[in-house]
Amino acid sequence: MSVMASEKSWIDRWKEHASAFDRVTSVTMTLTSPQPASWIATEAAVAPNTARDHLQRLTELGVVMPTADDGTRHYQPDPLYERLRDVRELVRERTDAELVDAAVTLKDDIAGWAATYDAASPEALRASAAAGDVSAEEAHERIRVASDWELARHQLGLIQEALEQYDTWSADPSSLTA
Amino acid sequence: MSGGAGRDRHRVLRQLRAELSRHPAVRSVTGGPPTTYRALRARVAPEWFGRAAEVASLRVTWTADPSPGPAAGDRPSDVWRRTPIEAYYALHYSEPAGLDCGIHCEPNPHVDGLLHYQVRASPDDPYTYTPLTLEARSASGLLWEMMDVLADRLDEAG
Repeated sequence: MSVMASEKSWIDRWKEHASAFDRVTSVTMTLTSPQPASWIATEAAVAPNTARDHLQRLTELGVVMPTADDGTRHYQPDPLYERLRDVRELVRERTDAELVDAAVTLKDDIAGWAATYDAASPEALRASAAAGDVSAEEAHERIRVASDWELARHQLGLIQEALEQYDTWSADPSSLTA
Repeated sequence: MSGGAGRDRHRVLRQLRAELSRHPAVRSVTGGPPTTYRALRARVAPEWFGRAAEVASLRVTWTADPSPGPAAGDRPSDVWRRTPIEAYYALHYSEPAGLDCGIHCEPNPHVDGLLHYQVRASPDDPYTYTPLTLEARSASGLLWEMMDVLADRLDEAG
């Protein structure tokens, strides 16, 4: 083992380089289904009470949204926070010309996938991967392209929203405080 | 979760970018949000992995929704038995014109199941594949776990 990598476990290394609050935030922001505080605490390597305190703070900040599943409070990323954060970042870090170019690139990619696979949507392409006459390799390729298509569609939506709001928000960045 | 697979993949890649930026082996991360990225690329310090190369890079991919997945139809069944995270992902290390290796959780005709380590000494060599097991249940933790596995494997490679 190299000197820098040493004998530490990945959990120790993560704890060394990210605070408890950062780890709780990070675990929560990668969730694809809501989870209770106990689950988040385990994965973030913090005590359950610490996780609950940080999740309460993140909820108050509007970063995290609590839900009640089976009578137990679960947490997930707040979609409105994500949207505002990403659109704000586009407005602040990109010119409107760069955003237009990015939108054109994404639209071209989407049109290319639709033509190549004769599919109207990424959902249709994904469903076609399950067809009986599709090989395993081809199925994986279709899932990969469907995922790229879904991502491009999401990114295009963010860019279009940023362009619609560009003059307002770039002129007055303080109008977004998320 | 509402919002679809595109939103999930965007959000996970964005967070993995933040975790890569925190890691002591990483010098810089590019290809992240906010526009047309589909993967993360990082410049890393080869010496952190015990390597003599002057430069090295990482590529990280994440497919949040792997459905219909490898178990559909007549494809070989895989029960995600060596990783609790049901996503396709990869973390791949490369030295220019030299060794490249990585941890991949995705279908590969050379591998039984999904999660494996693959390595070759040079671009002209065939890959060697080895099954792996990972324990992290969050994507963020998984990134740190994969970086440690990578360090272990590169140390063994000498």
